[in-house]
Amino acid sequence: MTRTETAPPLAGSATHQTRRSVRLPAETGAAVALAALVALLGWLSPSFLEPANLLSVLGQAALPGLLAIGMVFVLATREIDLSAGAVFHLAATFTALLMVAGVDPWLAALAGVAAGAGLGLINGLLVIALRLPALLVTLGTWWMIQGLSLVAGKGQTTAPPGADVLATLSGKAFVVVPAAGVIFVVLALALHVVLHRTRFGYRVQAVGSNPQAAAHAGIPTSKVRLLTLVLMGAMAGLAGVIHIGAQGAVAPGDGGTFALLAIAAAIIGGTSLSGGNGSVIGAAIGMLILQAILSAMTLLGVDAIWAAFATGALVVLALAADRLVRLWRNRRAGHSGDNPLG
Amino acid sequence: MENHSLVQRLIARPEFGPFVLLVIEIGVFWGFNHDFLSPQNISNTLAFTVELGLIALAMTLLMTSGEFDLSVGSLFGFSPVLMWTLFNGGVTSLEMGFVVALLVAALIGLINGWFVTQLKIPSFLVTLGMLLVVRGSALFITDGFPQRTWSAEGSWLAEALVGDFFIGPFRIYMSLFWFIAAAIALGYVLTQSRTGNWIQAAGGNPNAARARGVNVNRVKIGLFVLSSLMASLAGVISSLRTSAANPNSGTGYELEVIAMVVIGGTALTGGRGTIIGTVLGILILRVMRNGIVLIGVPGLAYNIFIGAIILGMMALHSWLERRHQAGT
Amino acid sequence: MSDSPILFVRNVARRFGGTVVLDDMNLVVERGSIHALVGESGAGKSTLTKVLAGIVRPDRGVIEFDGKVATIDSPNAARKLGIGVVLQQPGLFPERPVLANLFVNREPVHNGLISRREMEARSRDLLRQLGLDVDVHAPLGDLGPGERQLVAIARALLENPRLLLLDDPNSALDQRQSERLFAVLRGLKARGMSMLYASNRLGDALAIADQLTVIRNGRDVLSKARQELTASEEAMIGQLRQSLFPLPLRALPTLAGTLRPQITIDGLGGGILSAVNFTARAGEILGLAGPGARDLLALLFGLRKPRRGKVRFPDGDGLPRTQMEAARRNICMISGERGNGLMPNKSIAFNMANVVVGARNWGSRWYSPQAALGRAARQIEALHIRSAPEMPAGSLSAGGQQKVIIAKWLEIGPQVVLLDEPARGIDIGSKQEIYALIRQMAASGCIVLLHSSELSELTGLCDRIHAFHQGRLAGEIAGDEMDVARLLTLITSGKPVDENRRSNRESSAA
Repeated sequence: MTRTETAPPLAGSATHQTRRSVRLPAETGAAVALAALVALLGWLSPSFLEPANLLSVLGQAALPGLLAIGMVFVLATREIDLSAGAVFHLAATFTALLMVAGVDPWLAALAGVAAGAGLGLINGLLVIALRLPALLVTLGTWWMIQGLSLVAGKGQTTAPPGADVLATLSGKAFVVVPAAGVIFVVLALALHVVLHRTRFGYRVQAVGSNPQAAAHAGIPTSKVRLLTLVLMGAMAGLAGVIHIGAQGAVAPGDGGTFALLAIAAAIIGGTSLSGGNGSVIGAAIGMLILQAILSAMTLLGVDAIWAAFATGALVVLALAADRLVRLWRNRRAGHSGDNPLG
Repeated sequence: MENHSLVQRLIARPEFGPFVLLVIEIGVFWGFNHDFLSPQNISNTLAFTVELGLIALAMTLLMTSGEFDLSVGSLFGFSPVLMWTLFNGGVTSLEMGFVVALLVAALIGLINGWFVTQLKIPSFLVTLGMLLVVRGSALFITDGFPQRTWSAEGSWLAEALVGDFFIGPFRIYMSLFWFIAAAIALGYVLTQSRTGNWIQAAGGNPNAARARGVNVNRVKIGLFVLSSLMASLAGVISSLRTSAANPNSGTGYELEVIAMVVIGGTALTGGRGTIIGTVLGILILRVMRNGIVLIGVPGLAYNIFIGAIILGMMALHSWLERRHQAGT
Repeated sequence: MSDSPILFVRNVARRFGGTVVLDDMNLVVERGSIHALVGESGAGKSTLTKVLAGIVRPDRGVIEFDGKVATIDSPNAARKLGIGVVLQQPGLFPERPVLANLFVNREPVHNGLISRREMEARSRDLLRQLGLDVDVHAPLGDLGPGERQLVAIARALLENPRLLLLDDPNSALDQRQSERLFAVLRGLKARGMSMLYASNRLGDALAIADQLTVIRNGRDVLSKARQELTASEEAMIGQLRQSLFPLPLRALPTLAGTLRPQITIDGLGGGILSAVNFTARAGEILGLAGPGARDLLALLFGLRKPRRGKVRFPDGDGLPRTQMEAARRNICMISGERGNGLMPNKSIAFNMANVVVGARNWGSRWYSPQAALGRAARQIEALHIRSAPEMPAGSLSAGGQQKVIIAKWLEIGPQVVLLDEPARGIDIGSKQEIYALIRQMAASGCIVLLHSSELSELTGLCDRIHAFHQGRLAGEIAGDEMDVARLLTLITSGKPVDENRRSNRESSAA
């Protein structure tokens, strides 16, 4: 068999200078941004830097943060779950109602997480059965779950009596660190490993990068998508349960902006909307950034009434910034126009 | 090609299904409670229906071009609040306040359109964020409290928009005529004008449209502006009619409007739209809402219905699309 | 009317990412003539067409239209100059009616409203000439692919361009439709329209062109008037490919005999394929040509459900029900559509692990990026992929990408390799290497089935070729009998050459 040894560089082949440089982890950018932000806020209002305050930011970021790290998996498969906030709320209400009915608080907590996972499962099954993108399915289920919550909670704040037992969740580990924060950090690290070092995580990235290619290679794309939605639901359920434990009650408006915040945090952290990659730690840092801004606003004397406005503006700006950075990076690499052969 | 009879061609139209659904629905509710078709009930239902309907008409065109606008509900609440604040504060007349509110809405539509077309961020996310921004602004202007609204009897604006009169036992508002006019105008634009073809092309195959010289971006931005304007107008009309301006009003309307458009037969993925279908969809959903209250189902359960309907219709369309593809 | 050429293309170049698609391209189109642009797939014809149509902007080069330097930076700019285009992917709207498709963004307007009557009037004659007898109010999606292509052509003709660009306009047309089209084009030429006709079918180009330019790897290598082409030049253009193919390997001795793994196909039907029987064995490359071959591959890969028939694979089971099941059973599909096999944003190492890590249900639940890098480095070395394991797969040239796709399957050693135009759009050098790889796979014991619409590719590479005629197996040719003409006869008529000649003589005598 004839083989041409060193083939002369042909017009059609690419010539690369392979840069063997040390590549910083993708999350460095987000971490730097967080550090800079904290410094800035500390300068604007010195009390921001007090340890108690910083830890409280961590504690508050923990709940939407759990949603964010779950959302990373969903985004990595090129899907979006809009119902996460409603799942959070329903799981919390469900747990509260169980406790009101006299069920042991820890059992109720378990049931809450299971309920979240179950709702995620329903989302996933609908995506498969209806053959629709998760964006549209969860748009519908968002409403249905919200409706269910309203009916179950009768549109009022539910405050279960046995919540004190769950108050360990609102307690502090190591005296100062809020328990919710600890759970958040631990899960963020764990899920990061799952995404980058397990077969499941590999499949998630493969499906998101090119579902057709993944299917051609034998990866069960539907099952992978289903599992990411179940995971998302479980995280939302867990967050809901922690909410009951920490706050002792769940009000009708709680969690309304969580889904959007989670998506924004994931994007800030480096997960792209076009799927195929993701950074769990980045999403966690992203949520800390968002929460820091929101908390700082209260500290700076800005009216609480600005909360909705600020959240919306932050999300839109985060999305815009992510897109601009991407465009800038593409331009530098010389990719322009679309590839007619690809 | 076979020659289809008139009846066969009517049945083949996408609006036929919703029409049948509407007729059945009205029949069912009337069967439950004869009050359903009383002049008073019809008048009341119709009054609010046209307000939501105006938004749905604009949303039809926007969805045909392949985009969504989730901020319409918040604009519905924000615009009248802005108008009344300016008026109550003595800054402008009511009419000028109205114009200002419309201009602000147009600006918001422009921003939405810009983010979607230039930064290529999915319209869902942009408008969801904008929803919060606008809602937050409304809350800020009013400190969360409803605004004072004098009964707007004297103002010619109120007369033009919501003047009411009686035709027999039915109480009709001027807004109904505005709605009909808008439906006819937008229907013509969509089916008989070049712009309508641009909209359908942009939603059906944006790259092919661009290759033929259609300015897809400009079309979409224009539709976002239209959507915001309609939402704003609808909110003002509602506020003048009910003599109220609550910063929280309009919450949840975006989803109901999308459901109306989808039930009517407009494709979720864009490329095909029908104004007639949307009109039917508007009626179907509002009749449903009115009907289930009359029957005695808790109003809170309405959300569950809407969600289920959206899902069901999406699945149906998706299935029909796939059958159509497979057949060719 | 002046005699100067209507179009000058000078030194035009364009690259996409890491791939150079056009590299110092030059072309002159005489006024009122048909100029054919001939080249392999991937040579750059489509990109040049898109540059002239304003859809893609060149990195370098000058274009002169009608004596003046032209900046064609948008489709509208091209239209204003009087350039019309029919692309390979024509950008039609299947849900809209045919009439709407004919006048996209050019609808005649009266008082702000579209005049359908005028659209009908304007298009009636042209549609008749092209032989399109369709209900213009029916959705475009109801038409077959040939008719749809004619609608795309009609759309461009309705604008009466001065220069018409055509990119492979008869790929979906049958013989009769093609001839009609050529008649229309000749008529338009007589009326003064100039045309640039891009195609990879030399026969068509020679039949219709006044001038010819051969494009290879983004450059023009030959440019002459049709009349002046010598016989040897013609042969050279047609034979450009023969040097590509490695000598066929004799089947390895250990695999001789009937103990070789094989696929037995019995009465299989699905799509346009009807009752097909044959056996494919390991150690040889079996070619498939003609309508129905594609459907066969789709059936074997689980992309399509069969209507009838049975198939037996070496592992004992029948047809896979889904593509995922197929891949799990080590049946792989490598096609010219690299979008189906490659994850362009992920690294080469990630891509290579697709099957090994992604598709296995047994073995480790963990994924080690280190191991993936090592694996990729090995394959890069072995397959001469000019890149590094961490680089994104999308940055490779078309040939490099296809090698990565093949490599990921080589990792596990597939039992069945289904190839559908695997060398489409790839430069000559990489094509050679890929052909060699395919040979290797056959020699190492895989069952290889290859489908291609470039018949010379089949005759150069395969041991045997099955020809399909309208979905039925028309015949098999092997060894010395393998040449393009014989194959073509089988595909188009369903009968081998000798029978054809005999029946022709009989009918001419009658």
